[in-house]
Amino acid sequence: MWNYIIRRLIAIPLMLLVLSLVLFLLIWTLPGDAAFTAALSIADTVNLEKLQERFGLDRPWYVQYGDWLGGIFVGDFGDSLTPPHDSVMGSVKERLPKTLEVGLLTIILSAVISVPVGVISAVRRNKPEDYLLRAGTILGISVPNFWTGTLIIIYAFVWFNWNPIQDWVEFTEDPLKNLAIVIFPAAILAYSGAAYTARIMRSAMLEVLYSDHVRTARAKGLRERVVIFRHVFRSALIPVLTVVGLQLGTILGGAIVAEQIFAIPGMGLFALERIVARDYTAVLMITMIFAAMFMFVTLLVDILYTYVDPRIRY
Amino acid sequence: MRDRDNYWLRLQGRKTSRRGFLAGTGVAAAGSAAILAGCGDDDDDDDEAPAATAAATEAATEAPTEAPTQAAPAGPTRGGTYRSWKRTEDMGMDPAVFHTDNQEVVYQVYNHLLDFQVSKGTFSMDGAVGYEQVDESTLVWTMREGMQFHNGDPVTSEDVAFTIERPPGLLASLGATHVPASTYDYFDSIDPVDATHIQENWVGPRADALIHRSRQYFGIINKKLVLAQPDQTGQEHVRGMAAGPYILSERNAEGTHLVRNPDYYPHPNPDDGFVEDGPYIDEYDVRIVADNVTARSLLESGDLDAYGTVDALEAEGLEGNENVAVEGAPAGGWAVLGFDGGKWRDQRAREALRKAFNYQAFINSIHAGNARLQAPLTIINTRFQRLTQEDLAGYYNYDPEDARALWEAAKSDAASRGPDQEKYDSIYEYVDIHTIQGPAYLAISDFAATNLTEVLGTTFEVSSADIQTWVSAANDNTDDVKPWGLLQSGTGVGGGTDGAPDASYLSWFDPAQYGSVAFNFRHDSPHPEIAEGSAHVGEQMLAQTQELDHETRVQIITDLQRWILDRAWGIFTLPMAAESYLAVSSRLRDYGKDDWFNAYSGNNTPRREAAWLDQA
Repeated sequence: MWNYIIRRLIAIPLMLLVLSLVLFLLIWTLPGDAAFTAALSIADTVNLEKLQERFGLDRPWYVQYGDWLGGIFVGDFGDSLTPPHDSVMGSVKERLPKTLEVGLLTIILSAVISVPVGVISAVRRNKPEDYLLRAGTILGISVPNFWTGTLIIIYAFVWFNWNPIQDWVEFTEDPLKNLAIVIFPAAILAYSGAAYTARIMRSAMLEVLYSDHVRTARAKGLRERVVIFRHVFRSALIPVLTVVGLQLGTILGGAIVAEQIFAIPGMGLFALERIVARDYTAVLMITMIFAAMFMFVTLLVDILYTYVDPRIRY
Repeated sequence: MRDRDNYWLRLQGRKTSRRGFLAGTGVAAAGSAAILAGCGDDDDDDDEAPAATAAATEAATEAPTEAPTQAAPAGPTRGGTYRSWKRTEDMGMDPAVFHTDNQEVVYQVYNHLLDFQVSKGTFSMDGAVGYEQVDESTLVWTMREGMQFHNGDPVTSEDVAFTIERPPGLLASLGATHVPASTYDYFDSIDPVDATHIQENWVGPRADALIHRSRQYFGIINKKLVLAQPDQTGQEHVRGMAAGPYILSERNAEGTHLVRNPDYYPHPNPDDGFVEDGPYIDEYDVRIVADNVTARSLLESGDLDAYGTVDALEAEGLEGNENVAVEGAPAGGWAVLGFDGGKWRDQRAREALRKAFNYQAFINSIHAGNARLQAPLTIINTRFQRLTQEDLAGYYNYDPEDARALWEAAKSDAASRGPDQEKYDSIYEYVDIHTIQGPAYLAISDFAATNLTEVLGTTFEVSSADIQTWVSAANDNTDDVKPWGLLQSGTGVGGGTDGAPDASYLSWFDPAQYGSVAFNFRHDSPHPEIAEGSAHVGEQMLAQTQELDHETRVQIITDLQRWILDRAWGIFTLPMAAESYLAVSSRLRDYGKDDWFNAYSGNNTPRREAAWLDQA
């Protein structure tokens, strides 16, 4: 087990390295660069070559990449390429906690919604409750986050004359107000995530419900509640764990939309701004953080498998 | 059989007791109350601001928005927080460097020598109390005494001279700034004469120097503090760099916050826009909101004081909302199809395009039947614009048969020119209309593509990109033809002018500015007629900007516009919306509606110190 974990931990930086190179090349091949952003709409007073030289964009791509990478190894995460050239790490420190808060709440809400829905839907298979819940999950999967978010904003005002967009308040300052701000983006992201997870939960439950070991458990005379929770639910959790782990990526990606709609100054909004600005220093840093988080969560999920299913060994 | 033993079925089959139901309801109600408490209105204005009396409020509500001193018996009230929004973080705070989403700072934290009110054609004195045009190339400023920066440093004539002279140096050291070269390329030297006078010496006359000095680029800056910065700019704002009415108190990923400068200098006998003991508003809160719908919902719920431009349909939708005031405001929207001078060298082809365009259909479908024709110089710059709508209608007339004939004639000549000219003549086979991603841009481009394909018989297709890629394509000068055939820009809604004819929109034709960089109408064009025409436009642009006699200058500009229109030169200008609308909060007063599109539309922060908030 420990060998496996160590191997995975060694692989993570290597994967990040490859990812950073691929990402850098993708950004590099896009038309325009950070100098263009600074020069936007000022064609009469721009010396683009000079600007590119100042931003270090006149150097060959491998020099730019090497410079960025070298900085990472010595703990220098660089400054944003576009004015006012703020420290990327400073921006990340300011914004990451907000996105993590939304993400954490999303995962909690998603789990709280999806597991009971999946279980009820499976146990009440083809009954009205099942149809209703499945319709709800289909809706959650089909309707895009930005649409749900926009509807919430519009109808919160139309029906209640109240706007869910509030000035950001830290959790430590005012927990209730903070919750009021993050609950909506988290709920939207959780709804689509939970819908997908609930369907996986349902199908996994159904598969296990009719398996031999469950039949045996029932034949032993165990109470149905014990059968469901001890024998069915636990086995059905394995695919659900996988999906929940993978959903982290969706949540981080969804943060771009949710933060834009709800004006939350988090990493998603930061990523969007920096991508548009062709600011590879910031984009690489943001992506590396998201990717590293994703990789660690995947590792955590793999470790959790061993606790959920004793048959799994590394 | 198995189902009957199902735990969940048994659970479901249980009857809910009255006590259980009440307990469940209680828990749900408590939870809802907690969430609603957290979701409550966070607008603290009512607590912070001095309360207006009911009578004053009533009177002020009835007062015309532009003249509270004349009509509202109780007069303007002081206090309150003006809440606005912008899309992204700023690109630094130095007024002479970049102006991306930092206008609340460059207009409110910094002060200026004077302000120009385009709609009235008048200058209002601010940091200066007067000026004297000594001769054609010498201007002397008299500073207001008693000004001090936010750290208590006195504002000296050296600071003012430094403020005026720095843009060329910044461009040289930074490689790019948002300050148009036309606002300083006539400087010889800027000298502090004594403690209160500054002399500008120019290499030649410049008619718009006063307008230039009223622009945000020349926000008065603390020389000592700027030179102490590692990059010798004010990009990283330090308290004491500015001397304006507000102090920057907060700047982060959420936006900016400004508070009143307690030591701001008074304006005895103030000109329009300034008040003796202003500004009236206590604080500015400018929030970063990346999404339009979000910003609009903030306005509708009373959490925003200025949303900005809305189209006629949106204006209708906002009617009846007590938190919102929608007002028509003068605007000179700009929507164009720019030619690539490398390919559109033949005047007949350019004229063919102009005649092939179905104006009435365009106006009906894009501007709901309500539009005006736009000229090379924006029609809202009434000090200089002499062309009437009737004049313009003579140029913009839909004549598909004539258009086709002109197009075919140009095409026929192109076919005889041979393969070495192929890249210059590709428009007769295929034209790529390149635009920005966005519904309004795409609607305009799609209309043009369909219309022109139908009339001219050549395929016109639309390609779109994000603004960054679009700018990159516009400025792509790797070859003497552009990667596109027509460059679509602007939506024809909103838009203003700073009053100087060079800037809006003649600069788009000027070979010293966009005409060359973006549209290939340049002195070194491979096509002699384009090179000669560019030289002419360049000469006339210079002549008008150096002409101090107003009527003579107007004549030069009018002749230049006619020259451009006669040759369908440079850019094909599309009709613009006849009316533009502003959406602001119903509590905002005397905010300078008529100059909103001219000066404030950047991020919705009125420069007028006379602006005030009703029920503040």
